[in-house]
Amino acid sequence: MNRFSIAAIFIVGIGIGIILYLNSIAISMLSKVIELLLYILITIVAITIAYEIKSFKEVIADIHLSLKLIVATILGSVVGGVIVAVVLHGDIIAYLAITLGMGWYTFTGSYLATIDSYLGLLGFTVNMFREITLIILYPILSRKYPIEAISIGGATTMDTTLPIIIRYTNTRISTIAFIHGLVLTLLIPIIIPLLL
Amino acid sequence: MIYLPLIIGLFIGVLLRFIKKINIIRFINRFIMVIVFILVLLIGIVTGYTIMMRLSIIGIQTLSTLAIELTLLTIIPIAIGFYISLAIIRIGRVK
Repeated sequence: MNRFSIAAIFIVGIGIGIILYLNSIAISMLSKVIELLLYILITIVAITIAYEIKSFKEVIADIHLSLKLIVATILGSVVGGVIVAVVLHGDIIAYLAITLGMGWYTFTGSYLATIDSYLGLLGFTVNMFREITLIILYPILSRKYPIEAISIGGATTMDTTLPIIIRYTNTRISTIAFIHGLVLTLLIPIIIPLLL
Repeated sequence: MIYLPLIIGLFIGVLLRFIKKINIIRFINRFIMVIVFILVLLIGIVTGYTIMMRLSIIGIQTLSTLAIELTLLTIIPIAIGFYISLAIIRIGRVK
């Protein structure tokens, strides 16, 4: 699989999804399969990490990179949300809540939908696009910026986009991505309710 | 739930360190390749369905406003986050 084939497979998938327009039962079954595959994948990734890493020191050695990435991802989301709110004359708090979803669309979408359905739609779609952006861009950006490009994925670098990162990098960078995603996943359910 | 496979995987990985005769990484890499292929395809199918479903709910009138909001809210935070990480990590490397 070369760097562009992941994006190609994904686009083919979208095409199939649009053309077939499956019923909700089929989609919920597909979502279960995705969840199951993710768990299998995370198990395998954890095996690789535990097998390849020489010592605990090796994990700690790169933790500063994970922390820098976390700061960059949060700052990017905050600044981005404010800029968009200023440009579109929108509600800053609402836009901040959407951008601070940082890729976790299931949480952000459903949480914002309890406040306003349009916000829910935005929260869901914007954060889903964040995941898609990483799937498409990471294979290309990982050549020059394997660590920096992790910030694109936000919280998804812990699960759904981790396979892409593993595929194009090594155990060290995968560990950085995993810690980055893990910390953001823990922070998002605290930050968004605090904002609204 | 996500932590359970992680803990199990870490445990298996630690156990496998004692059986150095088997080169599991070769098998794992091939397995990951197959899983990634299926996973990306399935995520694409679900995304395609979601896009169609959401479009049918909101209608075409609000589509242009939504498209602008979606584009800006997706691209700007990603771009700024990427450039900040680029700056922070490069500064760390320069010293």
